Amino acid sequence: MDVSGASLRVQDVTVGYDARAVAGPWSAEITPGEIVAIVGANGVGKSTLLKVLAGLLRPVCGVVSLGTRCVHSMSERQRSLVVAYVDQQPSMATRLSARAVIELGTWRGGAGVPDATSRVRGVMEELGIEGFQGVPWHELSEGQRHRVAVARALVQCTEGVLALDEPFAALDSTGSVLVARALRRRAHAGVIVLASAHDAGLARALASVVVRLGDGRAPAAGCNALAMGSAEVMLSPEAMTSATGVPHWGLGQVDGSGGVGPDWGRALG
Amino acid sequence: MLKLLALVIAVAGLRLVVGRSADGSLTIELAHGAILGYRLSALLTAALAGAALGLAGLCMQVLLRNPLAAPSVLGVTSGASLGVSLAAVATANAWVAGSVVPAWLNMSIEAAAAVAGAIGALSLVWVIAVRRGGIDPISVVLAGVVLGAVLGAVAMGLQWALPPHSRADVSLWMMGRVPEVPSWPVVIVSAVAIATSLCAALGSSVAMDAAAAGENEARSMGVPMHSLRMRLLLAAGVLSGCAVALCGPIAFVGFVAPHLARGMVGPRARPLVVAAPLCGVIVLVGADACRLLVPTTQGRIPIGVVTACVGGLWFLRFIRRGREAWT
Repeated sequence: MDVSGASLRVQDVTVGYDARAVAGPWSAEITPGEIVAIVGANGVGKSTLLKVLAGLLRPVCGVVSLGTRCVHSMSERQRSLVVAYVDQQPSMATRLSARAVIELGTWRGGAGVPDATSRVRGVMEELGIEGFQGVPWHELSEGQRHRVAVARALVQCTEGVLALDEPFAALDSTGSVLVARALRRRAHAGVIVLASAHDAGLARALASVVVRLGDGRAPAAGCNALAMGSAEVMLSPEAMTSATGVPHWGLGQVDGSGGVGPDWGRALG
Repeated sequence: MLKLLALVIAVAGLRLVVGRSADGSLTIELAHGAILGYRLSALLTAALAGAALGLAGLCMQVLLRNPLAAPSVLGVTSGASLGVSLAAVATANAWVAGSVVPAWLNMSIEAAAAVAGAIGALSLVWVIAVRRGGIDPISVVLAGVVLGAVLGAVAMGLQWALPPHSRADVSLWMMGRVPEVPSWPVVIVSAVAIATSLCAALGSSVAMDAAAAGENEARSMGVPMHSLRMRLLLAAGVLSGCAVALCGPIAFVGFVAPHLARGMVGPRARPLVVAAPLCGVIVLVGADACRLLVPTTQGRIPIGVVTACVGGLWFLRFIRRGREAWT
Protein backbone atom coordinates (compact mmCIF):
# COMPACT_ATOMS: atom_id res chain seq x y z
CA MET A 1 0.00 0.00 0.00
CA ASP A 2 1.62 3.24 -1.10
CA VAL A 3 0.52 6.20 0.95
CA SER A 4 3.47 8.49 0.38
CA GLY A 5 2.07 11.93 -0.34
CA ALA A 6 -1.41 10.85 0.73
CA SER A 7 -3.45 13.10 2.99
CA LEU A 8 -5.53 12.00 5.95
CA ARG A 9 -9.04 13.06 5.02
CA VAL A 10 -11.58 13.50 7.78
CA GLN A 11 -15.15 13.78 6.51
CA ASP A 12 -17.98 14.77 8.86
CA VAL A 13 -16.56 12.65 11.63
CA THR A 14 -18.39 12.51 14.93
CA VAL A 15 -16.68 10.50 17.63
CA GLY A 16 -18.02 8.83 20.73
CA TYR A 17 -18.55 5.53 22.47
CA ASP A 18 -21.48 3.19 22.02
CA ALA A 19 -23.11 5.46 19.44
CA ARG A 20 -23.12 8.31 21.97
CA ALA A 21 -21.50 11.30 20.34
CA VAL A 22 -18.76 13.05 22.31
CA ALA A 23 -17.33 15.45 19.76
CA GLY A 24 -17.78 16.53 16.18
CA PRO A 25 -18.81 16.61 13.46
CA TRP A 26 -15.44 17.60 12.08
CA SER A 27 -13.96 17.73 8.60
CA ALA A 28 -10.36 18.36 7.69
CA GLU A 29 -7.62 17.37 5.35
CA ILE A 30 -4.30 16.76 7.00
CA THR A 31 -1.44 16.79 4.53
CA PRO A 32 1.85 14.89 4.84
CA GLY A 33 4.37 16.61 7.04
CA GLU A 34 1.82 18.22 9.29
CA ILE A 35 1.92 17.88 13.05
CA VAL A 36 -1.57 18.11 14.49
CA ALA A 37 -2.01 18.71 18.20
CA ILE A 38 -5.40 17.76 19.61
CA VAL A 39 -5.86 19.82 22.76
CA GLY A 40 -8.64 20.37 25.24
CA ALA A 41 -9.62 19.74 28.81
CA ASN A 42 -9.79 16.28 30.35
CA GLY A 43 -12.70 14.19 29.17
CA VAL A 44 -13.64 16.14 26.04
CA GLY A 45 -12.77 13.23 23.77
CA LYS A 46 -9.18 13.86 22.67
CA SER A 47 -8.14 10.24 23.05
CA THR A 48 -11.35 9.10 21.40
CA LEU A 49 -10.76 11.35 18.41
CA LEU A 50 -7.16 10.16 18.19
CA LYS A 51 -8.21 6.51 18.20
CA VAL A 52 -10.76 7.23 15.49
CA LEU A 53 -8.15 9.00 13.36
CA ALA A 54 -5.76 6.08 13.92
CA GLY A 55 -8.37 3.62 12.69
CA LEU A 56 -8.69 1.83 16.03
CA LEU A 57 -12.18 3.01 16.88
CA ARG A 58 -15.03 3.50 14.47
CA PRO A 59 -16.55 6.97 14.41
CA VAL A 60 -20.21 7.35 15.30
CA CYS A 61 -20.55 8.67 11.78
CA GLY A 62 -18.28 9.99 9.08
CA VAL A 63 -15.25 8.64 7.24
CA VAL A 64 -11.50 8.82 7.87
CA SER A 65 -9.42 7.91 4.84
CA LEU A 66 -5.74 7.84 4.09
CA GLY A 67 -5.23 8.33 0.37
CA THR A 68 -7.96 6.24 -1.17
CA ARG A 69 -8.42 3.78 1.70
CA CYS A 70 -10.74 4.15 4.67
CA VAL A 71 -8.60 3.48 7.75
CA HIS A 72 -11.44 1.56 9.38
CA SER A 73 -11.85 -0.94 6.57
CA MET A 74 -8.18 -2.01 6.60
CA SER A 75 -7.13 -5.22 8.28
CA GLU A 76 -4.88 -4.84 11.34
CA ARG A 77 -1.94 -5.97 9.27
CA GLN A 78 -2.58 -3.48 6.47
CA ARG A 79 -3.13 -0.68 8.96
CA SER A 80 0.08 -1.48 10.83
CA LEU A 81 1.98 -0.53 7.66
CA VAL A 82 0.55 2.98 7.51
CA VAL A 83 -0.62 3.93 11.01
CA ALA A 84 1.43 3.58 14.20
CA TYR A 85 -0.23 4.33 17.53
CA VAL A 86 1.02 4.86 21.09
CA ASP A 87 -1.35 4.65 24.03
CA GLN A 88 -1.63 7.21 26.79
CA GLN A 89 -0.27 4.73 29.31
CA PRO A 90 1.53 2.05 27.37
CA SER A 91 1.17 -1.18 29.30
CA MET A 92 2.61 -4.57 28.51
CA ALA A 93 1.96 -7.74 30.46
CA THR A 94 5.44 -8.94 29.73
CA ARG A 95 8.98 -9.30 30.93
CA LEU A 96 10.46 -8.60 27.51
CA SER A 97 13.40 -6.19 27.52
CA ALA A 98 13.02 -2.61 26.33
CA ARG A 99 14.85 -3.55 23.15
CA ALA A 100 12.64 -6.58 22.52
CA VAL A 101 9.53 -4.41 22.90
CA ILE A 102 10.94 -1.89 20.41
CA GLU A 103 11.71 -4.75 18.03
CA LEU A 104 8.01 -5.67 18.04
CA GLY A 105 7.63 -2.56 15.87
CA THR A 106 9.50 -4.34 13.09
CA TRP A 107 6.86 -7.07 12.88
CA ARG A 108 3.88 -5.27 11.33
CA GLY A 109 1.69 -8.33 11.10
CA GLY A 110 4.52 -10.30 9.52
CA ALA A 111 5.23 -7.76 6.77
CA GLY A 112 8.39 -6.51 8.47
CA VAL A 113 10.25 -3.23 7.97
CA PRO A 114 13.28 -2.64 5.74
CA ASP A 115 16.66 -2.62 7.53
CA ALA A 116 15.06 -3.67 10.80
CA THR A 117 18.25 -3.91 12.87
CA SER A 118 19.68 -0.55 11.91
CA ARG A 119 16.25 1.07 12.28
CA VAL A 120 15.93 -0.23 15.82
CA ARG A 121 19.43 0.93 16.67
CA GLY A 122 18.83 4.34 15.13
CA VAL A 123 15.58 4.94 16.99
CA MET A 124 17.06 3.81 20.31
CA GLU A 125 19.86 6.29 19.80
CA GLU A 126 17.40 9.00 18.80
CA LEU A 127 15.39 8.61 22.01
CA GLY A 128 18.32 7.85 24.30
CA ILE A 129 17.25 4.32 25.14
CA GLU A 130 20.57 2.48 24.76
CA GLY A 131 21.28 2.92 28.46
CA PHE A 132 18.33 0.78 29.52
CA GLN A 133 17.72 -1.32 26.42
CA GLY A 134 18.30 -4.56 28.30
CA VAL A 135 16.02 -3.77 31.25
CA PRO A 136 12.83 -5.85 31.32
CA TRP A 137 9.65 -3.89 30.72
CA HIS A 138 8.21 -4.48 34.17
CA GLU A 139 11.24 -2.86 35.78
CA LEU A 140 11.14 0.31 33.64
CA SER A 141 9.87 3.58 35.07
CA GLU A 142 6.72 5.15 33.68
CA GLY A 143 8.70 7.63 31.62
CA GLN A 144 11.07 4.97 30.30
CA ARG A 145 8.11 2.81 29.29
CA HIS A 146 6.63 5.69 27.41
CA ARG A 147 9.88 6.35 25.60
CA VAL A 148 10.12 2.67 24.69
CA ALA A 149 6.55 2.64 23.38
CA VAL A 150 7.20 5.74 21.27
CA ALA A 151 10.38 4.11 19.97
CA ARG A 152 8.40 1.03 18.99
CA ALA A 153 5.99 3.22 17.02
CA LEU A 154 8.86 5.13 15.38
CA VAL A 155 10.40 1.83 14.25
CA GLN A 156 7.04 0.74 12.90
CA CYS A 157 6.18 3.98 11.12
CA THR A 158 7.80 4.23 7.69
CA GLU A 159 5.05 6.34 6.11
CA GLY A 160 1.50 7.43 6.72
CA VAL A 161 0.30 8.38 10.18
CA LEU A 162 1.97 8.43 13.59
CA ALA A 163 -0.64 8.89 16.33
CA LEU A 164 0.36 9.47 19.94
CA ASP A 165 -1.97 9.87 22.90
CA GLU A 166 -0.48 12.35 25.39
CA PRO A 167 3.10 11.68 24.29
CA PHE A 168 4.62 14.17 26.72
CA ALA A 169 2.50 13.62 29.82
CA ALA A 170 4.75 10.99 31.39
CA LEU A 171 8.08 12.31 30.15
CA ASP A 172 10.66 14.49 31.84
CA SER A 173 12.01 17.47 29.93
CA THR A 174 14.90 15.52 28.41
CA GLY A 175 12.59 12.79 27.22
CA SER A 176 10.05 15.30 25.93
CA VAL A 177 12.62 17.12 23.87
CA LEU A 178 14.02 13.88 22.44
CA VAL A 179 10.54 12.70 21.49
CA ALA A 180 9.53 16.10 20.12
CA ARG A 181 12.62 16.27 17.92
CA ALA A 182 11.99 12.75 16.68
CA LEU A 183 8.40 13.65 15.79
CA ARG A 184 9.53 16.72 13.93
CA ARG A 185 12.04 14.66 11.93
CA ARG A 186 9.28 12.25 10.96
CA ALA A 187 7.06 15.14 9.88
CA HIS A 188 9.87 16.53 7.74
CA ALA A 189 10.11 13.10 6.14
CA GLY A 190 6.44 13.31 5.17
CA VAL A 191 4.73 11.47 8.01
CA ILE A 192 1.48 12.88 9.40
CA VAL A 193 1.95 13.26 13.16
CA LEU A 194 -1.10 13.39 15.43
CA ALA A 195 -0.70 14.03 19.14
CA SER A 196 -3.18 14.72 21.88
CA ALA A 197 -2.27 16.85 24.87
CA HIS A 198 -4.26 18.16 27.79
CA ASP A 199 -1.56 20.60 28.78
CA ALA A 200 -0.66 21.92 25.42
CA GLY A 201 2.76 23.47 25.97
CA LEU A 202 5.13 21.31 24.00
CA ALA A 203 2.49 19.88 21.68
CA ARG A 204 1.55 23.39 20.63
CA ALA A 205 5.11 24.52 20.25
CA LEU A 206 5.59 21.58 17.93
CA ALA A 207 2.32 21.57 16.04
CA SER A 208 1.47 23.08 12.70
CA VAL A 209 -2.24 22.70 13.42
CA VAL A 210 -3.93 22.78 16.78
CA VAL A 211 -7.33 21.17 17.08
CA ARG A 212 -9.01 22.27 20.24
CA LEU A 213 -11.87 20.13 21.44
CA GLY A 214 -14.28 22.29 23.38
CA ASP A 215 -17.32 21.47 25.41
CA GLY A 216 -19.72 22.42 22.66
CA ARG A 217 -19.97 26.06 23.59
CA ALA A 218 -19.05 28.93 21.31
CA PRO A 219 -15.62 28.62 19.71
CA ALA A 220 -12.86 30.60 21.28
CA ALA A 221 -11.73 33.75 19.57
CA GLY A 222 -9.25 33.23 16.76
CA CYS A 223 -10.52 29.83 15.74
CA ASN A 224 -10.48 28.95 12.13
CA ALA A 225 -13.65 28.60 10.13
CA LEU A 226 -12.91 24.89 9.65
CA ALA A 227 -14.34 24.40 13.08
CA MET A 228 -17.74 22.83 13.33
CA GLY A 229 -19.78 21.67 16.22
CA SER A 230 -17.72 21.23 19.33
CA ALA A 231 -14.49 20.45 17.55
CA GLU A 232 -12.65 23.66 16.93
CA VAL A 233 -9.73 23.89 14.62
CA MET A 234 -7.30 26.66 15.13
CA LEU A 235 -4.46 27.28 12.76
CA SER A 236 -1.40 28.36 14.60
CA PRO A 237 0.91 31.08 13.29
CA GLU A 238 3.47 28.41 12.49
CA ALA A 239 1.08 26.65 10.16
CA MET A 240 0.39 29.87 8.39
CA THR A 241 4.04 30.57 7.83
CA SER A 242 4.64 27.06 6.61
CA ALA A 243 1.68 27.45 4.28
CA THR A 244 3.46 30.36 2.71
CA GLY A 245 6.38 28.10 2.00
CA VAL A 246 8.63 29.17 4.84
CA PRO A 247 8.83 26.32 7.26
CA HIS A 248 9.05 27.69 10.73
CA TRP A 249 8.93 25.48 13.73
CA GLY A 250 7.27 26.34 16.81
CA LEU A 251 8.02 28.87 19.42
CA GLY A 252 5.67 30.22 21.95
CA GLN A 253 3.56 32.52 19.85
CA VAL A 254 0.44 30.43 20.20
CA ASP A 255 -1.32 32.04 23.04
CA GLY A 256 -4.36 31.18 25.05
CA SER A 257 -5.08 28.44 27.52
CA GLY A 258 -2.12 26.35 26.46
CA GLY A 259 0.47 28.37 28.29
CA VAL A 260 3.38 27.84 25.95
CA GLY A 261 6.64 28.41 27.72
CA PRO A 262 9.49 29.93 25.80
CA ASP A 263 11.67 27.10 27.12
CA TRP A 264 10.15 24.59 24.74
CA GLY A 265 10.81 26.79 21.78
CA ARG A 266 14.44 27.19 22.73
CA ALA A 267 14.84 23.50 23.53
CA LEU A 268 13.54 22.52 20.15
CA GLY A 269 15.82 24.94 18.39
CA MET B 1 15.98 -26.11 25.77
CA LEU B 2 18.45 -29.02 25.92
CA LYS B 3 18.33 -28.78 29.69
CA LEU B 4 14.55 -29.10 29.50
CA LEU B 5 14.75 -32.16 27.27
CA ALA B 6 17.25 -33.74 29.64
CA LEU B 7 14.87 -33.09 32.54
CA VAL B 8 11.97 -34.60 30.62
CA ILE B 9 14.01 -37.73 29.96
CA ALA B 10 15.11 -37.83 33.59
CA VAL B 11 11.58 -37.69 35.06
CA ALA B 12 10.32 -40.14 32.46
CA GLY B 13 13.10 -42.54 33.42
CA LEU B 14 12.32 -42.05 37.08
CA ARG B 15 8.64 -42.80 36.48
CA LEU B 16 9.56 -45.98 34.63
CA VAL B 17 11.89 -47.43 37.24
CA VAL B 18 10.18 -46.43 40.48
CA GLY B 19 7.51 -48.77 41.71
CA ARG B 20 6.11 -50.48 44.76
CA SER B 21 6.22 -54.17 45.26
CA ALA B 22 3.29 -56.14 46.57
CA ASP B 23 4.39 -55.75 50.20
CA GLY B 24 4.41 -51.97 49.88
CA SER B 25 8.14 -51.44 49.84
CA LEU B 26 9.71 -49.09 47.36
CA THR B 27 11.41 -50.74 44.43
CA ILE B 28 13.71 -49.25 41.87
CA GLU B 29 14.15 -51.55 38.95
CA LEU B 30 13.55 -51.66 35.25
CA ALA B 31 10.19 -53.35 34.96
CA HIS B 32 9.32 -55.67 32.12
CA GLY B 33 6.31 -57.27 30.55
CA ALA B 34 2.90 -56.09 31.65
CA ILE B 35 4.25 -53.85 34.43
CA LEU B 36 6.40 -51.97 31.93
CA GLY B 37 3.36 -51.66 29.67
CA TYR B 38 1.31 -50.15 32.50
CA ARG B 39 4.05 -47.75 33.41
CA LEU B 40 4.55 -46.70 29.80
CA SER B 41 0.83 -46.01 29.38
CA ALA B 42 0.75 -44.04 32.63
CA LEU B 43 3.83 -42.12 31.51
CA LEU B 44 2.28 -41.34 28.15
CA THR B 45 -1.01 -40.19 29.67
CA ALA B 46 0.65 -38.03 32.31
CA ALA B 47 3.01 -36.54 29.74
CA LEU B 48 0.17 -35.65 27.39
CA ALA B 49 -1.93 -34.15 30.19
CA GLY B 50 1.07 -32.19 31.46
CA ALA B 51 1.91 -30.86 28.01
CA ALA B 52 -1.74 -29.93 27.42
CA LEU B 53 -1.95 -28.10 30.75
CA GLY B 54 1.35 -26.27 30.24
CA LEU B 55 0.34 -25.02 26.81
CA ALA B 56 -3.22 -24.23 27.97
CA GLY B 57 -1.83 -22.16 30.85
CA LEU B 58 0.45 -20.22 28.52
CA CYS B 59 -2.40 -19.55 26.09
CA MET B 60 -4.63 -18.30 28.91
CA GLN B 61 -1.93 -16.04 30.32
CA VAL B 62 -1.49 -14.46 26.89
CA LEU B 63 -5.24 -14.30 26.28
CA LEU B 64 -5.99 -12.55 29.57
CA ARG B 65 -2.70 -10.65 29.85
CA ASN B 66 -2.42 -12.05 33.33
CA PRO B 67 0.38 -14.20 34.77
CA LEU B 68 -2.02 -15.70 37.32
CA ALA B 69 -4.26 -17.19 34.66
CA ALA B 70 -4.34 -20.99 34.47
CA PRO B 71 -7.02 -23.61 33.83
CA SER B 72 -7.45 -24.53 37.48
CA VAL B 73 -7.28 -20.94 38.78
CA LEU B 74 -9.99 -19.61 36.49
CA GLY B 75 -12.56 -22.37 36.82
CA VAL B 76 -11.82 -23.89 33.43
CA THR B 77 -10.89 -27.20 35.03
CA SER B 78 -14.13 -27.07 37.02
CA GLY B 79 -16.04 -26.44 33.81
CA ALA B 80 -14.43 -29.50 32.26
CA SER B 81 -15.21 -31.59 35.37
CA LEU B 82 -18.80 -30.43 35.22
CA GLY B 83 -18.90 -31.55 31.61
CA VAL B 84 -17.54 -34.96 32.58
CA SER B 85 -20.02 -35.28 35.47
CA LEU B 86 -22.91 -34.39 33.17
CA ALA B 87 -21.73 -36.97 30.67
CA ALA B 88 -21.33 -39.52 33.47
CA VAL B 89 -24.88 -38.92 34.68
CA ALA B 90 -26.22 -39.12 31.15
CA THR B 91 -24.40 -42.33 30.30
CA ALA B 92 -25.21 -43.90 33.69
CA ASN B 93 -28.89 -43.22 33.05
CA ALA B 94 -28.57 -44.60 29.55
CA TRP B 95 -27.01 -47.72 31.06
CA VAL B 96 -29.86 -48.02 33.55
CA ALA B 97 -32.30 -47.66 30.69
CA GLY B 98 -30.88 -50.84 29.28
CA SER B 99 -28.71 -49.66 26.40
CA VAL B 100 -25.14 -50.85 26.53
CA VAL B 101 -22.63 -48.03 26.28
CA PRO B 102 -19.22 -49.35 25.30
CA ALA B 103 -16.37 -48.01 27.44
CA TRP B 104 -14.54 -46.25 24.61
CA LEU B 105 -17.71 -44.43 23.58
CA ASN B 106 -18.34 -43.54 27.20
CA MET B 107 -14.86 -42.08 27.51
CA SER B 108 -15.14 -40.21 24.22
CA ILE B 109 -18.42 -38.65 25.26
CA GLU B 110 -16.85 -37.62 28.56
CA ALA B 111 -13.85 -36.13 26.76
CA ALA B 112 -16.07 -34.17 24.40
CA ALA B 113 -18.08 -32.93 27.36
CA ALA B 114 -14.88 -31.95 29.17
CA VAL B 115 -13.73 -29.88 26.20
CA ALA B 116 -17.15 -28.25 25.86
CA GLY B 117 -17.22 -27.47 29.60
CA ALA B 118 -13.73 -25.98 29.52
CA ILE B 119 -14.48 -23.73 26.54
CA GLY B 120 -17.78 -22.69 28.11
CA ALA B 121 -16.17 -21.79 31.44
CA LEU B 122 -13.36 -19.82 29.81
CA SER B 123 -15.82 -17.93 27.61
CA LEU B 124 -17.86 -17.08 30.71
CA VAL B 125 -14.78 -15.75 32.54
CA TRP B 126 -14.00 -13.69 29.47
CA VAL B 127 -17.51 -12.24 29.24
CA ILE B 128 -17.63 -11.44 32.95
CA ALA B 129 -14.19 -9.90 33.34
CA VAL B 130 -13.73 -8.01 30.10
CA ARG B 131 -15.28 -4.68 29.49
CA ARG B 132 -14.53 -1.81 27.20
CA GLY B 133 -11.05 -0.46 27.63
CA GLY B 134 -9.45 -3.66 28.75
CA ILE B 135 -9.29 -6.58 31.10
CA ASP B 136 -9.14 -5.90 34.79
CA PRO B 137 -6.64 -8.42 36.19
CA ILE B 138 -8.36 -8.61 39.58
CA SER B 139 -11.79 -9.15 38.01
CA VAL B 140 -10.41 -11.97 35.88
CA VAL B 141 -9.07 -13.87 38.87
CA LEU B 142 -12.12 -13.20 41.05
CA ALA B 143 -14.54 -14.15 38.29
CA GLY B 144 -12.57 -17.32 37.62
CA VAL B 145 -12.32 -18.37 41.25
CA VAL B 146 -16.02 -17.82 41.96
CA LEU B 147 -17.08 -19.41 38.69
CA GLY B 148 -14.87 -22.38 39.55
CA ALA B 149 -16.59 -22.72 42.92
CA VAL B 150 -20.06 -22.52 41.37
CA LEU B 151 -19.30 -25.02 38.60
CA GLY B 152 -17.59 -27.29 41.12
CA ALA B 153 -20.69 -27.22 43.31
CA VAL B 154 -22.95 -28.11 40.40
CA ALA B 155 -20.58 -30.97 39.51
CA MET B 156 -20.75 -32.19 43.12
CA GLY B 157 -24.54 -32.09 43.01
CA LEU B 158 -24.48 -34.19 39.86
CA GLN B 159 -22.13 -36.71 41.44
CA TRP B 160 -24.43 -37.00 44.40
CA ALA B 161 -27.19 -37.91 41.99
CA LEU B 162 -25.14 -40.75 40.51
CA PRO B 163 -25.73 -44.36 41.48
CA PRO B 164 -23.47 -45.29 44.46
CA HIS B 165 -20.96 -47.43 42.57
CA SER B 166 -20.20 -44.78 39.99
CA ARG B 167 -20.29 -42.09 42.67
CA ALA B 168 -17.21 -43.56 44.33
CA ASP B 169 -15.61 -43.88 40.95
CA VAL B 170 -16.23 -40.25 40.04
CA SER B 171 -15.10 -38.85 43.39
CA LEU B 172 -11.82 -40.77 43.03
CA TRP B 173 -11.55 -39.36 39.54
CA MET B 174 -12.07 -35.85 40.91
CA MET B 175 -8.84 -36.24 42.88
CA GLY B 176 -6.91 -36.68 39.68
CA ARG B 177 -5.90 -40.04 38.32
CA VAL B 178 -3.21 -41.17 35.94
CA PRO B 179 -4.77 -44.25 34.37
CA GLU B 180 -2.55 -47.22 33.63
CA VAL B 181 -5.10 -48.34 31.09
CA PRO B 182 -5.92 -45.13 29.25
CA SER B 183 -8.69 -44.64 26.75
CA TRP B 184 -6.81 -44.68 23.48
CA PRO B 185 -9.23 -42.51 21.46
CA VAL B 186 -8.81 -39.78 24.09
CA VAL B 187 -5.03 -40.20 24.05
CA ILE B 188 -4.91 -39.89 20.27
CA VAL B 189 -7.25 -36.88 20.16
CA SER B 190 -5.22 -35.18 22.90
CA ALA B 191 -1.95 -35.79 21.08
CA VAL B 192 -3.41 -34.32 17.91
CA ALA B 193 -4.80 -31.33 19.82
CA ILE B 194 -1.43 -30.64 21.45
CA ALA B 195 0.46 -30.93 18.17
CA THR B 196 -2.01 -28.68 16.34
CA SER B 197 -2.06 -26.02 19.06
CA LEU B 198 1.72 -26.09 19.32
CA CYS B 199 2.17 -25.51 15.59
CA ALA B 200 -0.49 -22.79 15.55
CA ALA B 201 1.08 -21.07 18.57
CA LEU B 202 4.54 -21.23 17.00
CA GLY B 203 3.07 -19.60 13.91
CA SER B 204 1.63 -16.70 15.89
CA SER B 205 4.35 -16.36 18.50
CA VAL B 206 5.23 -12.75 17.63
CA ALA B 207 1.55 -11.87 17.73
CA MET B 208 1.44 -13.43 21.20
CA ASP B 209 4.35 -11.21 22.27
CA ALA B 210 2.71 -8.10 20.82
CA ALA B 211 -0.63 -9.02 22.40
CA ALA B 212 0.98 -8.33 25.77
CA ALA B 213 0.46 -4.67 24.91
CA GLY B 214 -2.92 -3.06 25.40
CA GLU B 215 -5.70 -3.80 22.93
CA ASN B 216 -5.18 -0.67 20.84
CA GLU B 217 -1.40 -0.81 20.66
CA ALA B 218 -1.45 -4.51 19.85
CA ARG B 219 -3.92 -3.92 17.04
CA SER B 220 -1.86 -1.03 15.72
CA MET B 221 1.19 -3.31 15.66
CA GLY B 222 -0.71 -5.55 13.27
CA VAL B 223 -2.13 -8.17 15.65
CA PRO B 224 -5.60 -9.28 14.54
CA MET B 225 -6.71 -9.36 18.17
CA HIS B 226 -10.14 -10.78 17.51
CA SER B 227 -8.96 -13.86 15.67
CA LEU B 228 -5.93 -14.31 17.93
CA ARG B 229 -8.23 -14.33 20.96
CA MET B 230 -10.61 -16.81 19.39
CA ARG B 231 -7.69 -19.13 18.63
CA LEU B 232 -6.18 -18.78 22.09
CA LEU B 233 -9.55 -19.39 23.74
CA LEU B 234 -10.19 -22.42 21.58
CA ALA B 235 -6.71 -23.84 22.18
CA ALA B 236 -6.85 -23.24 25.95
CA GLY B 237 -10.31 -24.78 26.15
CA VAL B 238 -9.56 -27.86 24.06
CA LEU B 239 -6.24 -28.49 25.81
CA SER B 240 -7.68 -28.07 29.32
CA GLY B 241 -10.58 -30.32 28.39
CA CYS B 242 -8.24 -32.98 27.02
CA ALA B 243 -6.13 -32.85 30.19
CA VAL B 244 -9.19 -33.31 32.37
CA ALA B 245 -10.43 -36.16 30.16
CA LEU B 246 -7.02 -37.84 30.44
CA CYS B 247 -6.20 -37.43 34.13
CA GLY B 248 -9.09 -35.71 35.87
CA PRO B 249 -9.03 -32.19 37.29
CA ILE B 250 -5.39 -31.67 38.21
CA ALA B 251 -4.71 -28.27 39.71
CA PHE B 252 -1.90 -25.75 39.21
CA VAL B 253 0.20 -27.61 36.63
CA GLY B 254 -1.05 -25.15 34.01
CA PHE B 255 -0.03 -22.29 36.28
CA VAL B 256 3.41 -23.56 37.29
CA ALA B 257 4.57 -24.79 33.89
CA PRO B 258 4.61 -21.47 31.98
CA HIS B 259 6.40 -19.75 34.87
CA LEU B 260 9.01 -22.49 35.12
CA ALA B 261 9.43 -22.21 31.37
CA ARG B 262 9.91 -18.41 31.56
CA GLY B 263 12.60 -18.93 34.13
CA MET B 264 14.42 -21.30 31.79
CA VAL B 265 14.00 -19.85 28.29
CA GLY B 266 13.03 -16.22 28.90
CA PRO B 267 9.91 -14.20 28.18
CA ARG B 268 9.62 -14.56 24.40
CA ALA B 269 6.61 -16.53 23.21
CA ARG B 270 8.45 -18.53 20.56
CA PRO B 271 10.64 -20.62 22.87
CA LEU B 272 7.93 -20.52 25.55
CA VAL B 273 5.43 -22.26 23.30
CA VAL B 274 7.75 -25.29 23.28
CA ALA B 275 9.10 -24.93 26.80
CA ALA B 276 5.76 -24.53 28.63
CA PRO B 277 4.38 -27.92 27.55
CA LEU B 278 7.75 -29.55 28.29
CA CYS B 279 7.68 -28.06 31.77
CA GLY B 280 4.11 -29.35 32.12
CA VAL B 281 5.41 -32.82 31.30
CA ILE B 282 8.18 -32.49 33.86
CA VAL B 283 5.82 -31.28 36.58
CA LEU B 284 3.08 -33.81 36.03
CA VAL B 285 5.25 -36.86 35.37
CA GLY B 286 7.49 -35.75 38.23
CA ALA B 287 4.47 -35.46 40.54
CA ASP B 288 3.31 -38.88 39.39
CA ALA B 289 6.70 -40.37 40.21
CA CYS B 290 6.93 -38.54 43.53
CA ARG B 291 3.61 -39.80 44.82
CA LEU B 292 5.02 -43.31 44.59
CA LEU B 293 7.52 -42.26 47.22
CA VAL B 294 4.80 -41.48 49.77
CA PRO B 295 4.25 -44.63 51.84
CA THR B 296 0.57 -45.50 52.31
CA THR B 297 -1.34 -48.64 53.15
CA GLN B 298 -3.87 -48.22 50.36
CA GLY B 299 -2.03 -47.69 47.12
CA ARG B 300 -0.73 -44.39 45.90
CA ILE B 301 -2.00 -41.00 46.97
CA PRO B 302 -4.02 -39.22 44.25
CA ILE B 303 -1.88 -37.10 41.96
CA GLY B 304 -4.21 -34.11 42.36
CA VAL B 305 -3.19 -33.93 46.02
CA VAL B 306 0.48 -33.63 45.09
CA THR B 307 0.06 -30.97 42.38
CA ALA B 308 -2.43 -28.89 44.38
CA CYS B 309 -0.18 -28.81 47.47
CA VAL B 310 3.03 -28.00 45.62
CA GLY B 311 1.50 -25.82 42.90
CA GLY B 312 -0.81 -24.00 45.29
CA LEU B 313 2.07 -23.03 47.55
CA TRP B 314 3.99 -21.86 44.51
CA PHE B 315 0.99 -19.75 43.50
CA LEU B 316 0.88 -18.12 46.94
CA ARG B 317 4.59 -17.41 46.77
CA PHE B 318 4.05 -15.82 43.38
CA ILE B 319 1.41 -13.48 44.79
CA ARG B 320 3.57 -12.75 47.81
CA ARG B 321 6.41 -11.61 45.56
CA GLY B 322 4.28 -8.63 44.81
CA ARG B 323 3.24 -6.24 42.19
CA GLU B 324 6.18 -6.57 39.83
CA ALA B 325 5.04 -10.08 39.14
CA TRP B 326 1.73 -8.81 37.80
CA THR B 327 2.94 -6.70 34.98
